[in-house]
Amino acid sequence: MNTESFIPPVRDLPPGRLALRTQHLRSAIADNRRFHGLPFPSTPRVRLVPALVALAVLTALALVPIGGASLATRAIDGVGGVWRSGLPLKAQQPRPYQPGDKVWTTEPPRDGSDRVAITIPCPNGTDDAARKLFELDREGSPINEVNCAPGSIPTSAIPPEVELMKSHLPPSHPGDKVWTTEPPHNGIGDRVAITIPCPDGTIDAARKLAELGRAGSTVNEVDCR
Amino acid sequence: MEPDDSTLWERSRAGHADAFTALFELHARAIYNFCFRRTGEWSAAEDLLSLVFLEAWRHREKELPPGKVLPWLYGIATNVIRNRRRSERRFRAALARMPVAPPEHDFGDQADERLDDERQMKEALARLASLPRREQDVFVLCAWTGLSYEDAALALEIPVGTVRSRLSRARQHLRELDPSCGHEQSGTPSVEEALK
Repeated sequence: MNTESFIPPVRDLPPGRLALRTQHLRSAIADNRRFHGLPFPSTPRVRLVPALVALAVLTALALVPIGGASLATRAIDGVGGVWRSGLPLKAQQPRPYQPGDKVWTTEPPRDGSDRVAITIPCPNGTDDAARKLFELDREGSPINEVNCAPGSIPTSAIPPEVELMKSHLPPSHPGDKVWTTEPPHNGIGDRVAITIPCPDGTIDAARKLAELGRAGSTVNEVDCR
Repeated sequence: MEPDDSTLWERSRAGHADAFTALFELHARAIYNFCFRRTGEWSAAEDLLSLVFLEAWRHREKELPPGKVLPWLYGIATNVIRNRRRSERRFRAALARMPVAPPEHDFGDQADERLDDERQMKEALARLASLPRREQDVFVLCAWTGLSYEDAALALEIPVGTVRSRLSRARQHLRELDPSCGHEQSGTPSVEEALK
């Protein structure tokens, strides 16, 4: 066959198909506002604009500092009601060491920000979060907050002391305990506790526990007097 | 008096769906046959026909010189066919949303002829496939579809001189591939002439 002189066949659409395709086209055009697979009539460039605007707004929210804390932090405050300038608000923390509770940092983050948080599953209770925080701390990680994923703590993993404290003591007040993150280093017994004054609340106990941990102390529990 | 395609296009640009469907009915046959010339499959050509006009509607803000709607549609068809797989993915959702087709009309008397068309077309396309893609585009538009150099340039968005040179190279390559093809073949009527 001579390709250059070849005359391709010419045909109409099969009977009824033109009308059907016309109907399809009308339908697609009428549907164009609900049409997600085909961007009528705006081009991808036009569709990018709202996305870029949204990105810019989110970036501004995250970065613009207002009153010492970023808008993002303030937004988190608004939702969680438990965080200001990197420190927990005792009055807003409903109960200590409950599933879903946060385990706060013991010192300001090294990178200058006020909060670097992760969330982990805590099958063994909030000790998992505390243990993780200490591990990260020893590694020099900038993470200063480890949270237990809500629902990841089985009820059986809540230490009996917590249950007892819940029923007998007001939460997050002097006298609350800050539990160990790991078995005592001396291998004898399971509890080496000290009691300290806590003018700033349980954060003082947490900070002290971290200091002792970094110093290699066998103390694994710090209580507020 | 029926409005010409430029008038229909202007109304389509203003968002009139009726004008656009009229444009579809006016040029469906030409685009359908063009798509067949590029694919060698009538059924694929029918689907591609829909995709070409969906794409045209998407780009309806395009301002076209008077009388150049069809060449522009050929250009869209060329691109849609080139990106066929990607386009099919892109339009799959659109096609899925379209109404379910009623039972096929019986065109059994043409079935054999259509199969024969496809066999011939695939044979021709197999030869054409040895050309660079850009030369194929120009050759199909100019030699098989009968577009002028200017219209092919508009369709492919390339200079007229480039159309001429690519067509010349395409013909030269085809002659080299098929020694039986001589210069006397250049007088063969185009498909568009045959359509008339």
